[in-house]
Amino acid sequence: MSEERGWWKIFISSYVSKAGLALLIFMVIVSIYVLFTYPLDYGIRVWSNPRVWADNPKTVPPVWVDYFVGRDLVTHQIVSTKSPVKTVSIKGVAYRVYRVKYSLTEEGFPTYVLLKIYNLTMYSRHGAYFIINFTRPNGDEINLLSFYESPPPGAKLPYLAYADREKIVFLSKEKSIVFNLLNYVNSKYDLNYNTTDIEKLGYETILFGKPVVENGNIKWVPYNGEYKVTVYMHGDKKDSIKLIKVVFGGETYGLLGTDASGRDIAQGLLFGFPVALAIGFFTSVVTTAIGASLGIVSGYKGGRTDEIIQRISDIVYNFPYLPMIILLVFIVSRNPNFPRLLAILGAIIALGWPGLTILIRSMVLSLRQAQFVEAAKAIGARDFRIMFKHIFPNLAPFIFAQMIFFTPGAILAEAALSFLGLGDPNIPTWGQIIEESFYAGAVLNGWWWWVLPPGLLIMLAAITFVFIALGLEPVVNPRLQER
Amino acid sequence: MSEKLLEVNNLYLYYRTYKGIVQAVDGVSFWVPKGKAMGLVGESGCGKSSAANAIIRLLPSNTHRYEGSIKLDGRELMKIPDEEFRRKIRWREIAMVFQGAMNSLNPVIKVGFQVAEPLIVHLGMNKKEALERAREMFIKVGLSPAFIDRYPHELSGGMRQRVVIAMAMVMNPKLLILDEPTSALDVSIQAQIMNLLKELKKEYNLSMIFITHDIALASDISDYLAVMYAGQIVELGPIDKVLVDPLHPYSQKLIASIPRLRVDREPEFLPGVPPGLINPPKGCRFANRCPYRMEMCEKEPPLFDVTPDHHVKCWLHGGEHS
Repeated sequence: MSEERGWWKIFISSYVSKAGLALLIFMVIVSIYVLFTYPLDYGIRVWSNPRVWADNPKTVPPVWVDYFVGRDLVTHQIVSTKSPVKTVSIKGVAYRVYRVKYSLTEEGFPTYVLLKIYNLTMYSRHGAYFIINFTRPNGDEINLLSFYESPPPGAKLPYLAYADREKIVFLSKEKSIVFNLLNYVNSKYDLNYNTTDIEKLGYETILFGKPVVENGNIKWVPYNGEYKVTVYMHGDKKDSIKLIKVVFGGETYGLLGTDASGRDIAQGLLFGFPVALAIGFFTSVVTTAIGASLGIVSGYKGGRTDEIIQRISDIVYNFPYLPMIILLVFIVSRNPNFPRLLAILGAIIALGWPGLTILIRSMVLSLRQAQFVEAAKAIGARDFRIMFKHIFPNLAPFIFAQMIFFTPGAILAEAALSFLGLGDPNIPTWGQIIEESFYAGAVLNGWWWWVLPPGLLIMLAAITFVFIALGLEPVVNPRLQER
Repeated sequence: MSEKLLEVNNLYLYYRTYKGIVQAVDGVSFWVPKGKAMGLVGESGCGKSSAANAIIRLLPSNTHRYEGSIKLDGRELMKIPDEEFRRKIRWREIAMVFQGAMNSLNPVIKVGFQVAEPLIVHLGMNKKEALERAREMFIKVGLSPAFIDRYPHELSGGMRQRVVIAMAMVMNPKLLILDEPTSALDVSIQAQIMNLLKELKKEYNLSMIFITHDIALASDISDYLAVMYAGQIVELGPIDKVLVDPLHPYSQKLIASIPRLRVDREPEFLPGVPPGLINPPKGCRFANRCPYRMEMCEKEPPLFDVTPDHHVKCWLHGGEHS
């Protein structure tokens, strides 16, 4: 027992191993959190599903860039309501008021305003009539637009609309609101704008701003305060709406911003933790098991077995690694039902074992001459028992260290393959997020929050295992122990 | 003479090497009576260990010729197939203590388990039972049973030697082959181990083949002595006869080379070197170093019976000459 404590003491005494271990514990904790909170088919159901991300702003930086920009950037906000604030019904006709509130505190304009209506159930052939009003902090209520929805002729009642596709009203882009805005601005602020001026300023500037005279010029600045979006609905008494959602587009989003499809990068990266650990762990364990077993058999049996195993490993060892893996993955992924990630891991394993086989074989060559091996033979132990009960324990620390050394290689190889577009589209990995950013031109456009974090995480994962391996080196190679 | 446990007749073990065929064991015949020890002495490289390996059938992969007759309790061992030999003879009937106890223990396995392993391999005992037996064995060889949880490097040389002996004795073999069991130990520990072996021999009525280059040590435990030279046994007989009145010129020179404590005499030495075992000389292999060389020595002498249990492979003691 004292032996085991001994190696632990040597291992933990160095700073690299402490750092490596801390990083590993961090990665494991994050992975456990993800495994408990994310659905298992996260990739298909969430990450690759554009509807999930429809409300998000596209390619916006994380919220904490405020500190670097020196300006309070508008945060993305989604406000929704399920029930009306007021209902008046007269003779079977109902008049409902839905209202959401939004307060602008930042020094900027929301980039867009979007209104969504989900699941409108209509009980009357007359349908429903909607009026959308916008209230500014000073209490002015601007009528923006109105629209009418009715069941198609001959449809069965009650009729459900906006179910498969919700009703989307792009308040800040809808052409029809320009005249209402023009009227309001010209009468309220005594201006003389025409429609082109409004187009040029942008609707959201008018909606969320106020004019200030500066050196004789009119400048629109953000008008801080509480805004309201009100939906007035006329329809049958029994008519109902499941949900009304108003999205105020922000200039920043979440911990790590969004990508070109509006996906929350932080969420995707978190999912990458268990994936990276699983890839690293699985490939390194399998590769090491194959490499070490073949090495032991090859070294111990000798003769023709040795010759065959060694020649095969020589050949495989000299294959060009990446091109060969690409070829293998390409061949396997012609079958669309075969999980692509498994193909990648299989290819990494198939090309990864020979190095260890050659190394272990040379160590077994000297071990098999040892007297204790002869003694084991004399006892009557079979070859298998000698190889795995007597020779293997002598190599175990070395093999274990090799396994950890191999882990970052596997993680990096997977990232490289994903970057080359061979990744599994159903499972987001860090390499794939980098690939997507690359093809979306993130580097050219300066969307650093999309490129750097996955890159840094790949590095972090690799460094974790390199640190642990470095810490294990003095344990495995006693000559490096400082006494 | 008591009943013979082991009878070896015309045993050959040749190795194939790049330089040629090594005739390591060349027509060796001897026997071990029940409960007695046969000392096998000779210079380094004369084939002592090869003879032992041939008996327990631990052959290297480059074995060229392996034949002869080995009878244990009248049963021919050479006819038993390898697998059966491994399962039924090796360690159950014949066990072996290897040269250098330090090296015959696996450094990363606890010694108790190494002693218990034959029981697990051969008798299919579970680990707990086997370790219990190992503990008993430890007491028999004079070790604290608490040591079963130690690793080899935590034991001293003498303790390790005792572990190796326990390992050999754990299956209660009839014959124990000891290949230089004390060569790496200092003399006081050597004496302890020799006493232990003598006790075991008496207690279990154990037969032994004691291989050593140290004649004095061999005389301590052996009842019979076989002197080997260049792959052959040149003299074989009861220990007192061979030691007091050696007949073969090589045995004479060998015994004369031992320094005496109380006699003021220069130890003698043999001029020349033993012949290589690849293409050894025809006829008597000792001829070119022999002071009594005759014409007849061109022909290989048979093993002459001087008395029913004293044999010598020299023309001086047989044939027309005597």
